[in-house]
Amino acid sequence: MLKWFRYLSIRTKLIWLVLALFTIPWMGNQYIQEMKEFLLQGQKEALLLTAGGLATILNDRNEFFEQNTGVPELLGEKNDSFAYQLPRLVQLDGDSSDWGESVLVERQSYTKGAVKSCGADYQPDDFEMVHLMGYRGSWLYALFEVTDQSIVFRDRNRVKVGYGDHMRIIIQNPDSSLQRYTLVATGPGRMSGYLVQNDWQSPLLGDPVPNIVAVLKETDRGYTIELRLPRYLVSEFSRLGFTILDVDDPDARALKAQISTYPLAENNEPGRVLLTSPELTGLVRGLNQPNSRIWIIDNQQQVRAVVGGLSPPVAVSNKPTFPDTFWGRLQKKISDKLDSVLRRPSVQFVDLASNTTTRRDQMILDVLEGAPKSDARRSVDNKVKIVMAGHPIRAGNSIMGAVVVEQSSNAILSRQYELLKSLAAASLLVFAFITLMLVIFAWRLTVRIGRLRDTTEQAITREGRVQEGMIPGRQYPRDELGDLGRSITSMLKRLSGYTQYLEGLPDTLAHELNNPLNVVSSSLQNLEQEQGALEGNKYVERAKGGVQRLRYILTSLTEAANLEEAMQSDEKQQLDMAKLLSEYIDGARLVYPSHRFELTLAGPSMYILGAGDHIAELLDKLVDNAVHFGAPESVISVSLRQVNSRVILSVSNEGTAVDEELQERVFEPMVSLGRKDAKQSHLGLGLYVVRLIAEFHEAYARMNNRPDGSGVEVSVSFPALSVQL
Amino acid sequence: MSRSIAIVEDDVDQRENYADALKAQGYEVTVYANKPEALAGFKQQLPDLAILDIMLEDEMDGGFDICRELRQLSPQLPIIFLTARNSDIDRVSGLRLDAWDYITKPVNLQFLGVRVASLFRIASTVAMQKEGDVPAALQMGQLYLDEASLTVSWQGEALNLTLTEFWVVEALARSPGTVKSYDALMQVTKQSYVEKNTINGYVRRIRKKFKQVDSGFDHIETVFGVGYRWHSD
Repeated sequence: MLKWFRYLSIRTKLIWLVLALFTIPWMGNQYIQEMKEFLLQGQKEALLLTAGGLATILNDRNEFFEQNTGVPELLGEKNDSFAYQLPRLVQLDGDSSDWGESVLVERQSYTKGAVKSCGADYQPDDFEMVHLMGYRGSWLYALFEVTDQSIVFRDRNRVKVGYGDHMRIIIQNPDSSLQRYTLVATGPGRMSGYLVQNDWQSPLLGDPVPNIVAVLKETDRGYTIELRLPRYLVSEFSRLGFTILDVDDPDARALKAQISTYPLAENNEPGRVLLTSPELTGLVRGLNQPNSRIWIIDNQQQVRAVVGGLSPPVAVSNKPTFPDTFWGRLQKKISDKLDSVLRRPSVQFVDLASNTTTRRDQMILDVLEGAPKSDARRSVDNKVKIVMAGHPIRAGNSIMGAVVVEQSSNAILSRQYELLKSLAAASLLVFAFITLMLVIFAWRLTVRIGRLRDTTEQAITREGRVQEGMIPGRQYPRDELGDLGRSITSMLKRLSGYTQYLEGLPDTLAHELNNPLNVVSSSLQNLEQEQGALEGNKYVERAKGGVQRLRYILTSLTEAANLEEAMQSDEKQQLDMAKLLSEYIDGARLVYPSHRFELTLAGPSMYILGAGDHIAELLDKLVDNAVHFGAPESVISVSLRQVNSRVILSVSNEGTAVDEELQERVFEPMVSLGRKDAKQSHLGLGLYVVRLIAEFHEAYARMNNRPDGSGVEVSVSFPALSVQL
Repeated sequence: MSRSIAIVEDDVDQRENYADALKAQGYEVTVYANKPEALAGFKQQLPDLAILDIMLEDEMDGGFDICRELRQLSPQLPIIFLTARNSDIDRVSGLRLDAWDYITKPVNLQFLGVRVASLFRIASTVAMQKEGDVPAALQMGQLYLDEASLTVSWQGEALNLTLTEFWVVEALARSPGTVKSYDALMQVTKQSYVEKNTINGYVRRIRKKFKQVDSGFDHIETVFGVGYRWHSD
């Protein structure tokens, strides 16, 4: 299965192993995720406990959940979101331009989504109210931009008010008593406000109240009302509601539609409790925890009290400080980089507004069924996860409502983020370190292997001869590679010993054969001397011929050994190969008149560091070889050229090509190219001598067939000597 | 009275063959098979010339030991090493012991006779010189060749050449400017079979000896592939 792995270099394998280490940070991340889940669970349980505790306090406190507790809260705490501080005092003239642009954008349209009543023939464009509240100094201002196609003013003949387009104001005092005002206009301009009875039509006083001032101005689409009332009318715990009523038929003067800033009951009474109970809020506020929000919800899923806020979350902007050292700066750099890569939990997010009136989450429904429960939801803008826990509030056997405690998971996410970041930073550093170590290790390993290979290769010549002096003898470390190095050294030494034995064998053999040969030779000579009649005897002559051949063989056998010995004491000197070769070939033409020599010199002089006698001997062997294996009368080409830093001598003869296998081995001792005639001995030592002399000159010899197969070429490549002329 | 020759050779066949050949030339020959025998014999009677093999039975350098002993007995005794050992080291070792010649086997018995005769001639010349009878000598430039004592001087200093080396120098110097081929030089050495390399070895050693006297010596020129040439200037 992992067959492909075998084809990879050690370096690549190590890189794979380094990559495999990436599973560690992955595992770390998995662990952090698990931990996050665990912490979230813990947070849920903690919130559940809080909710349970709160619910225990609120159990059987029916007064907080009575139907008629509270009216829409428009002032006090709630007022902040409805009444805006005005930039200047407002001129009551029906022109809204002096409210200020920043405030005007907050106008709310009550056509859509607002509670209102109307007839079946109502069209959205027929009747619409845009409302805005503001305050300045001790005054509270209200602006109403009403779309109304036909304006019907008050009929002065009627004592009762409200038979025309008019406005109703309801104020709930802290003691729950209600005050009702009806504002009517007989035409554009100042409106009259009357304190009225429950029917909204019968004034309690004959005169309009002086502290509520309103001005009506007709516009293209209908009319605008600017209203001012003193803030003391509506104290902190008072509630305030407005209703615009529309009458279109000046004769019948029947109410056609009405739009209110608060929900209307069918009987036009002020609505039931819609928003928080101040007492409940006060009670719960003391129990609130930082960064959490407590909702008290009644069994109609309506919000009774909201306390606290989810923002700001736990500070995550506390950037860690780093010391101003190299490592500190490096850590800071990595930390900044990670900040941009990892997802930092949102600091700011938008969630449910505090004036939310109902909560219809499935969890709350479940809690209202009686089971404490925890859950998590996304914030409104989907930026953060909010953990919530709910606990039912009981009154006897029934469930009165629920306590819901919410907290953003930002604290945990921040902690997770910090952990992730430090894990990433640590992993990065560890990785950089491990990778560096592995790369160094791999590099060192490959260098050592390469060096071992090189020294091993250097110890053995191209011809397969072990060079005693090149056997690596250094101390290897005590590891497996060192063992390999030591065993290679030992192997080379043994091989060298065996090679020496083999190389010395001809010499020993020659020496041993010399004595018996000498006996034969001297006996023959004495025989001839004694027996004069035997002189010229053919058998004696043949015996002498045989002895001569044996002597030749023995001399050849010892030649190589003697040559090596002789070369050890010889010194090399600067030698002009071109000059030497041309002189040599001149001589060779005399010695071998049967062959033609063609000399090609690539330059007038080419220098090497060499011993002339030995180079001549090398040439002897090459020419001898070419003469013996070349066809008679054939041409022997001798050339000398310089290629880069090598001087290459080639001797080529016509004749039969040589097998490639033999070409490799022909420079070994006792390897012959074959024999042409039985009388001529070929021990295969000539080219071995060539090799020895080439090695002495740090050169190497090679045999190749001619490209056209017409003969053989032996070339010797010497290192060139650059001569300063 | 015929001259006496001692042959120390452990191989009985070779020993007898050499003895027979030399006896045939009129010499009185005594043979020894090993070092103890030879040393015992020499203490009783010194020969006029000794032919020593180096390896004697199980003694690798028996011949060298005998040579040393003989030199103590007689500093002027002509000694020839006749051995199968043809390495340069052995040659140098032998000549350091003041052997007069170093011949490697196989040897042509005829040439052996010639050498023996030459050495006897040198020995008698040396003896005559001692008696004050100086024969004529040949001066060729800075080279001084004494054919009678077979000695060579260069720039007035005597060179310690062996017999074969003397013959090579003589052959080259006698025909200055002419190439002496390897074949011609092989004949000069009077050995039965000589390789080119052997000639090269002789010339190399000769050059070294000249250079010990005159470091700028370059009168023996190599004619690559052919042979050597002496040039006078």
